[in-house]
Amino acid sequence: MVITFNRVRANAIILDIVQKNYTELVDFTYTSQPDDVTEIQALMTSAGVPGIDIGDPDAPGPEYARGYFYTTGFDYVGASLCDYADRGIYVTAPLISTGRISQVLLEALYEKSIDQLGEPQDSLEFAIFKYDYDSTDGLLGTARFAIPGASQDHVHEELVINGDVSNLRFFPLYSSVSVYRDKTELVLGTDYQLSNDGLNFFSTLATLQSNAAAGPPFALYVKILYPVASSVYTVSYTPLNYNPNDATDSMWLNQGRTAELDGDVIKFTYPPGYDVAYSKIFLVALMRTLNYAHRETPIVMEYSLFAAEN
Amino acid sequence: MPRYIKQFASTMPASQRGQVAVLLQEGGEDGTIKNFAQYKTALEEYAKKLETVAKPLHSVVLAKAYAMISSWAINDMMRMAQLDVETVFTEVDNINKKIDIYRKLSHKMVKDVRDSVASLDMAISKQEILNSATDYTVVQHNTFNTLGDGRLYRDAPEAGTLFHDYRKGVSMNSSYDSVIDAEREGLVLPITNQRDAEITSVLVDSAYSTTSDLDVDPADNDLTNLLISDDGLYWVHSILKLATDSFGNTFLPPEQGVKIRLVFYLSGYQDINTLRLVPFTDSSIVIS
Repeated sequence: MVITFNRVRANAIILDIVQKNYTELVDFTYTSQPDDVTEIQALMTSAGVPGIDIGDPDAPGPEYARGYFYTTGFDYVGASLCDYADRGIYVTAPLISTGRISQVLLEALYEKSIDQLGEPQDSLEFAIFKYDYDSTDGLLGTARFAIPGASQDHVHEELVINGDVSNLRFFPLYSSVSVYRDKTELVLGTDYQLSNDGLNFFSTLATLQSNAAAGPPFALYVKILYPVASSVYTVSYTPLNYNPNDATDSMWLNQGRTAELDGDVIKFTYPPGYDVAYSKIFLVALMRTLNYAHRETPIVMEYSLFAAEN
Repeated sequence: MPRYIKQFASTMPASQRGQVAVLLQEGGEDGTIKNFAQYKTALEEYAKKLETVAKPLHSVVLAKAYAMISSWAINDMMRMAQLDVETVFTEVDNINKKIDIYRKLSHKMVKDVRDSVASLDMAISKQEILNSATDYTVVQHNTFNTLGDGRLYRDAPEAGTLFHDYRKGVSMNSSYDSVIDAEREGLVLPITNQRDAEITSVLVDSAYSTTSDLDVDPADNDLTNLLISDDGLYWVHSILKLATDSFGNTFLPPEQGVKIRLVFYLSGYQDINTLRLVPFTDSSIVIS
């Protein structure tokens, strides 16, 4: 049994153990040198302790007892400090459809490690790879899409900076975007600028929105004005809700407008002549540490990857 | 005679066979055993004493008070003691090996049972998930339990494309493979380094532990047995709560169970983030 927790500095470990299971002893005679300890001996032997030493040398005489006998034991208890890699990747075996996939949904249950202030120490990113095949098993094409796993995906998502620019994995509500350097919030215009084409950066949300480039695919880019190499930059935001009646809110995920994010669901359409017989979906989970000094680990408990066919 | 000895030998541990063989050989050398009848008698006598349980050949040594003991008697006693001690050590070693084998066997059985339960749980969960998600026709579900982990291995044809950090623009080799922690039943980052903290002492904090009504401490129950794994030594804490006292009052078992507080002192302040526990009990326990 392994119990992990956020790193603490301690000089002692306290384990509080509660034992509710017991064996009821009936007609147990207890004396200073018990004649009949068979029942306890059997219990102790089953617990791995051969031979017992019970009895009170000063007891005046035999005592008749009925009681509840509890045993708890350990072979080993140890404490350690584990360091984890800065990144980790897990790719699932493929989910194979028997027809054309119309939509995919991911539900993931995981926990990020947190520091003493309750802030996450790591981030998780999910993506799917879709391999499309024709009826002769010929590969028609592949595509990669970020997919939401849980709402906490977008809390302190790591900004992977190339030079001084990074981009969010999902297009956000502009007003929900907060950028952090080592968990300290930065100021738009002073510390960073935003862009939705990766070329023209703006210092206010108003100018960003008024100069918004047309999609798809929609992306929001962040330029860190004074990047510090040893710092970790993160962003928290709310993904934009899909609104099919508003082209500017469209969440097309690819240039060809065949994949879109509708809430948490990725929906697919297929252009004429693209005759998909079946597809393979691979789920990729990428873990990143946000604390390079004290690396902890997130833990993914379970996931369900759904696909619908048409 | 070899057949007779073989049949005899099959009834007792090897260590005792060696002990008997030494005594028989010495009997032949000192003239005590002169023929087969005497050999058989001596063999049967030793066998009767030993049966199949390791125990001393001579449990009682007669000593004459206020008299000088002969060197022959001393040597004989020492020789018997040496043989007995060797036998005991051999048998203790055998017992430890057997206990370890039983533990490994029971661990495997527990793992097999967990795998079976996990398999059933997985099948039920998958069906339940599909039943509740009527819009979907196929589902992949993984709880990272003790089953096979369901990962794509790196020799798969698609692996070259998939094991890649597209945001950093770099490939991720196998050292970056996240690992399944079967005990925690979860997917975690690969561990790059593990440093064990030194535990210097252990105690039961009686102020926060349930007191036993009767003394049922096992003999040789050393708390420091907790500090070394797989050594065949365990620590067991027993509590006996009386159901009836000497005045005829009756009691029910404590509704909240019994409590034991264990305190492990480290060698100074140390950073820790992992506890590893190997419980040794037939019953479930709650640890906080």
